[in-house]
Amino acid sequence: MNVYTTLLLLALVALLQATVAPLAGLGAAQPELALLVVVIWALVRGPRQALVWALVLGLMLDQLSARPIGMYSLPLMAVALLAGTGRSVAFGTHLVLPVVMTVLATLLYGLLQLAMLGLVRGGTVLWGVSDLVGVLLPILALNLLWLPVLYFPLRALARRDAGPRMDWGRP
Amino acid sequence: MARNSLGSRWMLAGLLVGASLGFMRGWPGVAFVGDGVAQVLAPLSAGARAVKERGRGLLAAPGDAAQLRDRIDSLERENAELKIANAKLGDVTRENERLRDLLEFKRGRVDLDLMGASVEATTFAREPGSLLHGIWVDVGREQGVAVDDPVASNRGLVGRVTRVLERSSQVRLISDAESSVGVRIERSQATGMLVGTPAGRLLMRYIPQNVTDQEPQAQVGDLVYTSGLSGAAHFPPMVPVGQIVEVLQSDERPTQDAVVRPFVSFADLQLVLVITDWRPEAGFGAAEPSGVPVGGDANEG
Repeated sequence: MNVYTTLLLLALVALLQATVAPLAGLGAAQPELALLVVVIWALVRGPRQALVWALVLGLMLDQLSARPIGMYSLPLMAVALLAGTGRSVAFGTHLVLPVVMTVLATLLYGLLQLAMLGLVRGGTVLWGVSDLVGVLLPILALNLLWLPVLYFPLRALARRDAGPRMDWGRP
Repeated sequence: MARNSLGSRWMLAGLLVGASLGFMRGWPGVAFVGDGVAQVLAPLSAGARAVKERGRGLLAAPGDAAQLRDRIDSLERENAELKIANAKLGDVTRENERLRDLLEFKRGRVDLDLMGASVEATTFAREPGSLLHGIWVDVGREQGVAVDDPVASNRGLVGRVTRVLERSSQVRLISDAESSVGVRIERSQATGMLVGTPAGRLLMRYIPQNVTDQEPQAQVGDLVYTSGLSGAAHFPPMVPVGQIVEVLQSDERPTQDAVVRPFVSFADLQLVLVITDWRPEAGFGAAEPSGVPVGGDANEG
């Protein structure tokens, strides 16, 4: 996939995140499509590409937000590293891996954003465990629901993009 | 002559038979026979009529079918147009209701109208994350919107403008964790600071503790309005905010907190009012809410 197509795809994801995702939300929670795209790409194409995707996508989201730059891009890059590490530790083809990685990535992404929000605000932004559970669990559930919707098309895209496979040839 | 007499005889006989039958029509026996004949003939007659009609229909079918098809097409078109018109009418009605509500809010706040323009804005996108709560509105610098302008809807306070572009602005909702608003409980006049949380809950903090033998400062069901007080007084006073649904009291602290349910449903915000040119009057903004401890961690949002 060339640079322009990649940029177009990532811009589309950022726009969907800002416009469509809130409509598919559950109370204050909404599916984190950008996070899912980064996790899936890290699993199918490795951490290096996913890190670039996370940076570009995160900067796009930062532009759509009124927060300081880095509020989205830094947690997304951390997620790319986590998912990429998971791929190298376990075998990336197993279908359980995307589920496990989505759970871990959602928690990491949420906690990092809360920590950064606390830094910006200059104090805690959580007023109890119920707040943490009340916000992270619905996001997790929505992410797991949306995972198959994004996983299979992105995996197909990655395979198509990877070119012909090397084989042993016919005798 | 003989032939003439034979004809007149037959005519006479016919008249006699006719007169007799007419005379006998009321007799039961004759009526019975007539009914029987009618019953036998009725199905045959109906069948014959049906066959005739069918035959006529078959003969006329090609022309009629074409006409009917045209008619169905025209009715379907009409139906589709009516459906579209109905949907548009529904949209217009809903928009009309929303605008009426906004107008009512504006009429109720003459002080704000006098001081500047209120710009109606349509929200078109939200903060791209679950933990941060904001919206974009389609009015910006061109329409006179400035950073820190308060934003409200007909139901109550929505937030304040945090970033302004040429034709769009970003609004931080009061449910955002970075937001804080000086508020007052209508019943007890107790003041406090309303802060948002990542989960989108509203928490009224720093409400003074209850005094013995006096009404409690905060109760479930109390209405909460903006106080117009706080560090930079970003919000005009007496804008409805929400209702207290839970009081979190602790004897170990000098103040108490309360969970507030907002009047505005942030999930389906469509039209909002950006209150432009509103600036705190002299005296506003100097004072902190009565319950805020000196050096508290409540930052203005």
